[in-house]
Amino acid sequence: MAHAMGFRSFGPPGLPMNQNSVATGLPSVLSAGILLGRLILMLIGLAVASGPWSLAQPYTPTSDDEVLERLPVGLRSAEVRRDRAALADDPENLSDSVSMAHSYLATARTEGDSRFLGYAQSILGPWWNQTAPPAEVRLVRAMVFGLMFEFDRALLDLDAILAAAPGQATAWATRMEVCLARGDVGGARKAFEAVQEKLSPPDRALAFARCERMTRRLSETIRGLEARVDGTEPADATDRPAALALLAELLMQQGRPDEAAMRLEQWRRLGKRDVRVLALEADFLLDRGRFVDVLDRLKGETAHDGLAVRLLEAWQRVADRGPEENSSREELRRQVEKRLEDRRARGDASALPDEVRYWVRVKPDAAKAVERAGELWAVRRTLDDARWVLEAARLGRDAVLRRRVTDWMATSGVQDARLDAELGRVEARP
Amino acid sequence: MSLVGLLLLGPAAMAHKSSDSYLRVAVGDARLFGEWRLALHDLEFAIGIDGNENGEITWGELKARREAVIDYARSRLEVEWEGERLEPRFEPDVQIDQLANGGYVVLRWSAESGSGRGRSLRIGNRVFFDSNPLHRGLIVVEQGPTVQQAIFHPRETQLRFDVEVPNPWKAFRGFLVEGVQHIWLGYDHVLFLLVLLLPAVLRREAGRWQPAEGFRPALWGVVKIVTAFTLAHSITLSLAALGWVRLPSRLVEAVIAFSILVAALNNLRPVVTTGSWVIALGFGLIHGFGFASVLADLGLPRANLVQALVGFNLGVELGQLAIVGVFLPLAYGVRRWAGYPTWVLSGGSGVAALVALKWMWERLSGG
Repeated sequence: MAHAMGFRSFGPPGLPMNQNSVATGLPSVLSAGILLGRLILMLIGLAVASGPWSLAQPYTPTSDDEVLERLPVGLRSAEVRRDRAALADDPENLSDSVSMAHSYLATARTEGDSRFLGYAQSILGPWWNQTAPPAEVRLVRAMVFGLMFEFDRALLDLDAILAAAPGQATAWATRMEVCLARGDVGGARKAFEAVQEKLSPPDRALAFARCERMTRRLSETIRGLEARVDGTEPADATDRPAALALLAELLMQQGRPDEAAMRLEQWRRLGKRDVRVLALEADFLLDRGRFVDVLDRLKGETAHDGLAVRLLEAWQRVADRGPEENSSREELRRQVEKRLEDRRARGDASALPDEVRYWVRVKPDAAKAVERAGELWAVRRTLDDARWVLEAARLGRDAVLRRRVTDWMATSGVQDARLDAELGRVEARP
Repeated sequence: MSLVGLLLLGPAAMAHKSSDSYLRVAVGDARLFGEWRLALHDLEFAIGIDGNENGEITWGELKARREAVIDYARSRLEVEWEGERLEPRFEPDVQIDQLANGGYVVLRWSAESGSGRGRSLRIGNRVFFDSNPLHRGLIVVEQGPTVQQAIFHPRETQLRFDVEVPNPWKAFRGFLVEGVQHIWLGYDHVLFLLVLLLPAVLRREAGRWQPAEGFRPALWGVVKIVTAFTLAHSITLSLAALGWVRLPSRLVEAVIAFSILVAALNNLRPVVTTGSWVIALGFGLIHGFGFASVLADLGLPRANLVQALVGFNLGVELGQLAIVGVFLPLAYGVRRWAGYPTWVLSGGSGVAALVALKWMWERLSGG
């Protein structure tokens, strides 16, 4: 835009650029004056045309009705407000505090918003720092630690709960998840075996699929979930969304994209919001090269680092849409990079998956990608992590890092079409 | 309890935004200036802003709670300079900063020290720690070009910073050096100036280039160009540095490359022959925005704003004069060489035009 506009408007009206002003008899000072006028007009034009230039600059709103922030449901619902007010009068009410903390945890999961982990911790303030708090507080604490990638501390709390109450199903299920996050398939299976008798059929089906997707029983888990969501073994209203999303993920894992697309579409028709599924869908679309669809799905999802990184990935793969959009994209990229740096500075390990993706795909930097990938693999080992660590290893030509992932894959026996494709790319490299 | 909601399915299960606040403190001569960004989301949870409880925080609702917000922030901030407890004075007006992760209220405060000078600055910050123990307070302490960063957390609510005894002359000198360095390392500014200066030792007669008759007219031409460029970029540098006018950096950078192209084309096919200073004046305006972005990257101190601005600008001028001081005698010496118009002026301008095109392409495409 800038160069075209500047070029056309240059020189006196009606005079082509290459004509000499002396030759036309036009005094050069007059010509220069017109030139200056044009330049000023061009600058004004640039300022007006570049809409988002005020982004990230403090401003004073002009209207009282201007909406500055939309609060997540977990903070604004009347019920949450009423419960908070009641708790403010009775902060040591254990059962109400724990129930409130669980509702914050639910929002933290579906919105991917760690601020709610802090709120859960603050609600349980009277017990949080105790060496042996009540079991129900300990369970919330383990869940918060797990979501913050502090898996050792989570396991300490879970094992303490299970030592006192070996039948605590939620503690076992959480233990299974922590083991899965650490890539400890054997530990996860042990936890599943300990808890499966106590689970309702939908919970059992989901837990089985979560656990056994890491083994050679992937096809069996897919069939089990298909039976649930297709009505052979009817799923109830709470079970179906989670089962559909997991089924889509397993189908992606097995390299069956058309069926995965169908399951994601079914999930979308439920009209629910869950950033985890949004991220899953974005990854699916990115793998299929459907970048414009990613921009559509993630429109406005810039607050969440994981979604913002995916948005940037898609954005830079679509055709150039002009300086204005480039400028917005660059501003978002700058902000996301700063946010990731801030999370790193505060020692937030849960930023590592986003950091690896950012340095591998958004702003490729082999040294940073390999460093972050190594740190991620030392903390967490999911199938997605394996994929990003392999990509980082390929970018940085780091055979040692790659070997750490392939060794783990061989030991745990995971099957994943996306990992196989990535390994193919590594091997195909000259 | 059903476990369905507990299972952490999916790749983004643990990718979240976090609760951060940003405090920037500028250290001046016996004064501190603070700029504090607090997330509206965090404020809502801590003290409640959403008056009509509809889940949306409006400017009207925030204004209604402005005093409560300032009181809350003030009650959680402590400043001690060389053992003297200071009372930060908050400005009654607040502003908004919309970042990609949500809206922030921007509070500004200043604090004056009675004793004047000191090395040890202690800042205490407890904002949001009681409502969210995972909150972190990021702080940047700036003194001229020196920047210190740290993080407050619930177990470390007091941080100590070593600051130099404020010395406005030192800040001035620091920015002066930065100005000189920037003009020398900012190849685009140097190239623009050189392209404008190339024909200064020549004169245009009947559509042909002739050597300038004497040193005085050549020098006069150079003085006009350099003065016009200086005047123009000083204006926009000041406007941008003071935050009054702002342009997107990528467009500024692209237009700077464009200015080189125009100046080079004008040498190859002259449109403006005796008034090159007008090109310097016009495009100097946009180069000023380029300088301002460098100054912003250095962290423009509110405390010593004038010294920084004057120092940086003067540094740019000194660097510029040094370039002219080397260029003019050399060019004047070879101006009578028959190959000057072809090889130096046209050849140099042609190369500059190609470089400018490449930069324009890179800057517009983001490559």
